[in-house]
Amino acid sequence: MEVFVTEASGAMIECTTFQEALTDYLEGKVCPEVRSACAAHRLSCRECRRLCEQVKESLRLLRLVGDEPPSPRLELANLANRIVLATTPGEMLGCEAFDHLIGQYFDGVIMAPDYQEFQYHFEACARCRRLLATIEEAIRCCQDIGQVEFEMPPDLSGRILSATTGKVGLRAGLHRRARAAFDRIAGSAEIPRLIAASLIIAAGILLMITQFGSLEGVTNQADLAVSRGQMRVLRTGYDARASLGQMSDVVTVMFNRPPSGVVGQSNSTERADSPARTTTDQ
Amino acid sequence: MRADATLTRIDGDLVRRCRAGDSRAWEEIVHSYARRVYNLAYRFNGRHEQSEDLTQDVFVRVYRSLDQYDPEAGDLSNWLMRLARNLVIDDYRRRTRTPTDLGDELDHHEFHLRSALDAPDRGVERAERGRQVREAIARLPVDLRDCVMLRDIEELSYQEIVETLGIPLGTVKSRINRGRIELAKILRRMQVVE
Repeated sequence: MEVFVTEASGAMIECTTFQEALTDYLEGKVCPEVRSACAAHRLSCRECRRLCEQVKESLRLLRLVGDEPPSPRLELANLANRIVLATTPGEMLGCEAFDHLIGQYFDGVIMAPDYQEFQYHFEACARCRRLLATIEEAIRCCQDIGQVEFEMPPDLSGRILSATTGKVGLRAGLHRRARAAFDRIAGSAEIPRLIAASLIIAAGILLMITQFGSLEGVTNQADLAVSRGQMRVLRTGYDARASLGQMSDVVTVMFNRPPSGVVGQSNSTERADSPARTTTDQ
Repeated sequence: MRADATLTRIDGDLVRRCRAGDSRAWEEIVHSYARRVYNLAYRFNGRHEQSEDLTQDVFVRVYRSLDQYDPEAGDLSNWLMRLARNLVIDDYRRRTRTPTDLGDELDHHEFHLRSALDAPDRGVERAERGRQVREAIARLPVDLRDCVMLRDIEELSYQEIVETLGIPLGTVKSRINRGRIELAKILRRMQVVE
């Protein structure tokens, strides 16, 4: 047997020491210091850990053999134990490694040793189990998209022929452009506003037509209104001029009034307005 | 094997007639493949106008490249669809450099399902799910998105994806794997899948 030396343990016992003390260690017949050193060595040395578990299992089986004959079920349990002992948790496939194997799994080319680990991780890890199921569903969804066929526009073949051989006239192209332009306008956000504005304008025109009989009547009325406006402006100007004339007469009279005592220069208005003065003069 | 040989012979004759100026032969090609090309384009960009223009561009390119078709190298269908796929992917990559709301038009599209057994409700459900999956795919990084679409929607082989995208096989596999994982997470977040 090889001698394994471990440096992981603080007690620093050799594998041979551990193996010599193994039976006593398992039966609990060692002092606390030795037990502690053996436990530390067992944790740090994989070979000795395996040996320890095997011995422990053998002892258990020997006890069982004394009681009853071995059954196939027991053999299976034994095998399962050996497998579990041979695989420590640190050696188990991680989620990241599992992710890397997913592609191979779906391609059906995952190799046997990898597949066992993959399977083991799949059973142990709920997250990866869910992920795998979701990926399966995602692939199904994608394949479903690939299965759907869309209707081709009926004039597309004609347009292709037109673009390649020029057999089909320009009408199809123009029609398409017009349709595209209409679609763009129809899809515009301004449409509701344009409709509202058009309705208001149409309602206004309709109202005017019902008021004046016809569009010609509307224009005649508009002409008449303009003429009336012009007349009103002219009249207003005339009135303004007349008022200004009257005002200027009044002002003239006020400034040209003669001083008191000069009877001969007074006019008829002033005479009528000042009888007392005339009396005083007399 | 014999059927393939017959097919390529028919394709070869058809293309030869096209080259000789037989417009009926070209019409036959256009009518046979326009729908497939249109669907390919529509699956990638999800828009009618773009798909129509792209289909037309593809056939213009096919028409000009008819001299390059070699019946010995395979049937016309493969050759034409490979050409179409390259153009559609080029166009798709050009457009997706800036993220867009991919597939909005799908809401208003009338689906024509292959299965005659599908009930109308099932068709609507499929359409809605298809729209959601497209949305989810649109959220993938571009390099992953191309690979996932080609593998899981177009169902191309790894080798075909390698030839189409011009990247190594290992990269294709890795991108498909990462793309699927990301897509699954997005679909879960969107509650498209439980």
